[in-house]
Amino acid sequence: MLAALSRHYVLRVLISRALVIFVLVTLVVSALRIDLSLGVVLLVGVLGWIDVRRRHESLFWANLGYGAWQTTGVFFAVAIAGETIVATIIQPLVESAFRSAR
Amino acid sequence: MHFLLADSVGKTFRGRKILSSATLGASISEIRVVFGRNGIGKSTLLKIAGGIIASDTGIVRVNGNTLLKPSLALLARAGVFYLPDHDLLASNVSLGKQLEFFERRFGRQSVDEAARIANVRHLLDRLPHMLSGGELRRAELAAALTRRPQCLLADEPLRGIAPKDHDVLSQIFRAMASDGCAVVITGHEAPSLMELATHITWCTSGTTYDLGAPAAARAHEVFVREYLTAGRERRTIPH
Repeated sequence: MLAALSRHYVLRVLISRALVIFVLVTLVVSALRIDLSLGVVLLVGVLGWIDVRRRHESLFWANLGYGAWQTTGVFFAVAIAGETIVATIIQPLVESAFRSAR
Repeated sequence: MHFLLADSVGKTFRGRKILSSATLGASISEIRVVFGRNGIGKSTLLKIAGGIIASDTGIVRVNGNTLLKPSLALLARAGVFYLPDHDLLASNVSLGKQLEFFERRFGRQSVDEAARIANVRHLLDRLPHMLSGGELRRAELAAALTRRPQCLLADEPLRGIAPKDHDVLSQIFRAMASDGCAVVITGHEAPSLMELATHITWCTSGTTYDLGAPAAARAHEVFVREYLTAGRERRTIPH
């Protein structure tokens, strides 16, 4: 199990990029005061797909055994995890902080 | 038996038929060189064999299994490595890190050993765009060496590099073949490639001809006339 996970350790590059895109998209969306949970996930996935193509990395990842679906899937997965954390942990914390401040 | 086989493939681009029925096989420990004029479909055939583009007709087989929807990622997991004519390596990750990815993912060859063979040890800290053409080619081959694939598909690997690097690259291809890798190369550098090859395939008129060993190819009258010496008469322009 650990050995299998270790083989996919190379995906950390994509995960860190997905995190950066997720944070930027979330900041932009909240600054614009738009309620867009599913939209954030879709936007991060599409931007991630574009990012891999923009960097001409498709063949590099494919030679490592990761196709376009898998690389794009990393961005979607990070966005879903991020949105879940925002909705279940961060948002309630912020709301309770506001309530206690009032 | 072929490790990788693109059998009777056809491909049409924007109404233009590039390949009608072409076959490309890669066998263990063999270095197959695909010759053909520019635009005749060599790279297209290699891309179909490598799962980069889909063929209109024909099949791709790897290790005896027919793939319904071949893709490079799928073939890479089966042991194929595709070396394009440009842009293999990621632009903003150091060479050493990229080689480490292949080592970590497949665990078949150490970065140190691959870098030593490809003579890129001193370049491991650099980004790919900081390398010269020859260095970049050696760096890309170092990635292939770290992967230690069962089949290497290399699209014009000798194009635009110095003769000294031809020799280094040729030695690497030979070493890979003697290690059991099925090597397929396209290109126009006839003297270097004829010396390197164990088998020749001629791609012409939308199809392919397996010409056998280089000696047999040199004796093939039509191949010599239509490809190897084509245009030589035209080049001797009287003053």
